[in-house]
Amino acid sequence: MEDYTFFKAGSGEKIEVPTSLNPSTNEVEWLKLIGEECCSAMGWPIGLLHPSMLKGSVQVRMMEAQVKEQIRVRQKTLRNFAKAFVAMNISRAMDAGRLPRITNSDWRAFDFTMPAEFVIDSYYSDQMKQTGLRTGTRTIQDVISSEGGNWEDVFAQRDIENKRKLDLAAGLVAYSSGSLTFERALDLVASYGNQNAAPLQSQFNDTPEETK
Amino acid sequence: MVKRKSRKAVSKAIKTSSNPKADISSPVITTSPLGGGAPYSSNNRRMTTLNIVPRFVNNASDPYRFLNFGERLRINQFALDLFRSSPLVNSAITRKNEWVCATGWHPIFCGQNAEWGKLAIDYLVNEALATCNVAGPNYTWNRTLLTIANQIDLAGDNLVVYAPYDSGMRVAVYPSTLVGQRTLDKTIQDGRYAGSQIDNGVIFNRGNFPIAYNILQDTPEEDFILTLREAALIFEPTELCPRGVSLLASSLIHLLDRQDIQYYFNRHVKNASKMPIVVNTEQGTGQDYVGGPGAIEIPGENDGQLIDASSFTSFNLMVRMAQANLSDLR
Repeated sequence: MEDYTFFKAGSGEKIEVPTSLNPSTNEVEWLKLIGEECCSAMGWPIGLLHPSMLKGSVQVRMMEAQVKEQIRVRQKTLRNFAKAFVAMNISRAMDAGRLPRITNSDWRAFDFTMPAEFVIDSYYSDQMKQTGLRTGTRTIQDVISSEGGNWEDVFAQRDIENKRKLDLAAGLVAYSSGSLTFERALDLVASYGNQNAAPLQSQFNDTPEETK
Repeated sequence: MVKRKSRKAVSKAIKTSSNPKADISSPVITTSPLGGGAPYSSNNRRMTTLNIVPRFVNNASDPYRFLNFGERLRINQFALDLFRSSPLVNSAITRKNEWVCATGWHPIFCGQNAEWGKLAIDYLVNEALATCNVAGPNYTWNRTLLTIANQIDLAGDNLVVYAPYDSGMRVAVYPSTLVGQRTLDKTIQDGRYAGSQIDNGVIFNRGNFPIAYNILQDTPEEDFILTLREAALIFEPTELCPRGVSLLASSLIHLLDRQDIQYYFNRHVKNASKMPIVVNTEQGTGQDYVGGPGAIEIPGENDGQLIDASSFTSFNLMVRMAQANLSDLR
């Protein structure tokens, strides 16, 4: 049997849950404001620490631009030191015979790849990169380094992948006893064997050889 | 006061720099013009000196000497304290600098001689940058840059000391507090740099160009000087000053206040949250009441006893009693 407790309510009385308003909402908001100011002084808006405090898209874009600038400034400071440090190392390595000695300015012709670029809206950023490549205002090195990569590594990897694709296509032609042309086999390999995917070659030929 | 040390002594100091200790009690710490010795007052931090509006600037009319070494030291101590104890400060600075240099920074050759460039990159990646820090392999090239970047934010600057070895160079990152001076003298009295100007540990030539740095060690006798060829003070000048200023300096008081207030808020909420209302039922006291440290009996007419719910004439009375209990503990 369950127990029930009855309270007799007097006139104007009602049941309320005990609540504490200390700290009050105003105090919490004030703390947030102070936090925002301090974060702003540190160059890292509080919206990036508490995404729930992010506001409209204009403010977010402004914040992104601000943060990118902060990052760029610090990278510039570090790059000065890093380039000097690399040049000192190269010069000592040449002195010690660890590297062949050269006399032109190549000994200090070094730079660095940068980490991936800070972006909030990566889709928008990708579109801008593609536009930049098409119009020639950005280079492949620029785009790849903005994603934290090294363009030479990417090109070398692409070279390996292309050669591997050629090998695989040649293998497919041999396996099909000549019923597949090399171009068709290359299409299949390039689309990773997905029969439903449109063959790459057909994007350039309206009438692929197989359908003639 | 300051004397030049031999290269052997310098390299010994570099080797022992993984845990450098400067005698930070020795430097002269001047007081604020508003009185009191502390730029910040807080019982929580055991600093009882009361400053209504703390000011860091002792001599605003002289832009080159606007912070003396003692004031810098104090700001940096608080900044470091906040970096280690405030999640806001720690995450803001660390996140920013991780975007700056936690990844990437792979050397690339931009010269003409591609074959030589390949050899050089191989040497840099596998030897020079792989062992770039005297503090050991955990300090990779990226982590070294990250440490330097964090120090620039926290202390305003840091000294990168070059430590040469057979076929390359390593670095030892000295904290900002190691560069300094033990007195407020503006001129070096003896040694190789006698007569040179010194400000905040930075030594200048006659053209006011920085040429060396005074390094503080455990005792004045162990202090030594590093020239511009042996070390580089890395900072981002924003004012006319030979040293960098902590990024937290402008918001230091706000941050300390915020942390104090948050600390007391947390204590209050913790006190409030350990207030169960203990009520007797027919089966005895509720499960929550086990005599543990959080269980508190409602005081009042039945002070010291567990209260039967039926003894309340109204719910409001019960709430009032509970609130009275809360306010007792405040």
